[in-house]
Amino acid sequence: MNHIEVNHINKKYEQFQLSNVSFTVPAGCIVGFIGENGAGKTTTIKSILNCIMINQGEIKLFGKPISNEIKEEIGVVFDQNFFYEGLSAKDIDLILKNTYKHWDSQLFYQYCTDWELPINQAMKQLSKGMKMKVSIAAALAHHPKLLILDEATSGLDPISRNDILDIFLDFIQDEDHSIFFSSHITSDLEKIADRIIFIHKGKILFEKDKDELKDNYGVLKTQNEEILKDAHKLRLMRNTFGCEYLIDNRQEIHQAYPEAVCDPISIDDLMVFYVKGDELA
Amino acid sequence: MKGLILKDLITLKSYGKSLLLIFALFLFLGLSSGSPLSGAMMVMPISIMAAYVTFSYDKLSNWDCYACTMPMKRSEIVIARYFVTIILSLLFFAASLLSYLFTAVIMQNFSEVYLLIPSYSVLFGLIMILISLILVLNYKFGPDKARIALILIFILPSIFTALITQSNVPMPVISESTIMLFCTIMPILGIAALLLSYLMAAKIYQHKEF
Repeated sequence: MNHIEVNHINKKYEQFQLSNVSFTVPAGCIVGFIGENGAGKTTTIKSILNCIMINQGEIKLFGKPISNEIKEEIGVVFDQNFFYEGLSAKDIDLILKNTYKHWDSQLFYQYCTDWELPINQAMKQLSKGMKMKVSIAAALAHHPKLLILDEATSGLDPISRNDILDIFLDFIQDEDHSIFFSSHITSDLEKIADRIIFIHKGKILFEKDKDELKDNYGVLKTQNEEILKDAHKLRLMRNTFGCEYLIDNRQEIHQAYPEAVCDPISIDDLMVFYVKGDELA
Repeated sequence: MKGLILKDLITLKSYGKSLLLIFALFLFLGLSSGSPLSGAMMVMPISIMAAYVTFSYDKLSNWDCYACTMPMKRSEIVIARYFVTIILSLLFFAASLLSYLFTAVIMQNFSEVYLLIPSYSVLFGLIMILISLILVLNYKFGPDKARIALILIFILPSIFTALITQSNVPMPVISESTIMLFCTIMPILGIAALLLSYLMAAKIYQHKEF
């Protein structure tokens, strides 16, 4: 079953528009959602959560339109703390205990203990990273099936990020769970994501399995016409050293032309190619 | 909804010291004025400020965006705020009565006791009408713009009253039965205003984007 189904959604603002955005997040998957600043990641996530109203299209969560029962199954973390700065973790536990049916105070305090979060200190006295950890603990503590994370690991130090990613990997061990994760820290997505969706200027440019991106996509650096003829070129980037081609048949080219310079590509470089490169295919 | 009510009440805890200070000030004013009832009645409008403060705190932390992701309807989010306002009003009503009793005992002045029920009836109705207005304005325009409206709501009637008083315009004679009728219908008007305000606020909030 798909935990998130977004079908042809459109949302128009004065200076920006989400255009015909469609994708799915299957159960048991971690789907990474990438895009440059202002691409529409947060707008898409807010549309899914019904914080903003779409002009057209359809969004389903667990196969149904969003409702209170479905929201019980969703854990949400945004890139900022939404709890009033005067509240402590203990206050947040009291509030959310009386909001979610399956709130688990023990689990919440366990996360606070593991991450060394003071439970009686007001949020304003915590660092940005600690506030984010409180938000993540709050999202996990009511035993959701779906986590929706908007830049949830930003502001965390590498060690904390590693711990949080381990929690997410543990969360996804249950095949009935899924994670939809937008992040600028593409190294996190490279570690844990199963699929990558790339949004640019309100449009989905690609939706691919991460392994397919890693195995088949690559950067071809050559002027050899024969190799270029066989390469399935998607984008072209010109720089001081010449031309670089983004291709999606790296393995084929490598087998046919072992001497060809064709390197695997990182998610970061893939984004740059799609945004800055000239479209060829 | 219970979680949201708790959130507002816990949030206002930090505002509690300021509220106590204001309460003490009005208590002192009551004692100084020689009229226990006047001082006590000044306490009740503090509930209007407390209601407004909850919106400011929510705006500061962008709470509404997160609240929309919680398992409750938008109308429940609105009604929770109205419940908090009613709870605060009742708390300040009780505090006001207690402060009247306290100052009356201190001053040994119970001459105004017969005015308690009519005064509090009118005040309750008036407070409810003002709170109804403030809540809707906050939902429609947000706390920053609603503050301007709040100031106008308090200042304009005061200016109007001062002008009327200074102009020596003869005031109409109102019969006792009319006054009693007015005292009776004010609470009913207040509750009606609150209900209408909730319906409008719920409709406004339903279409808001965060």
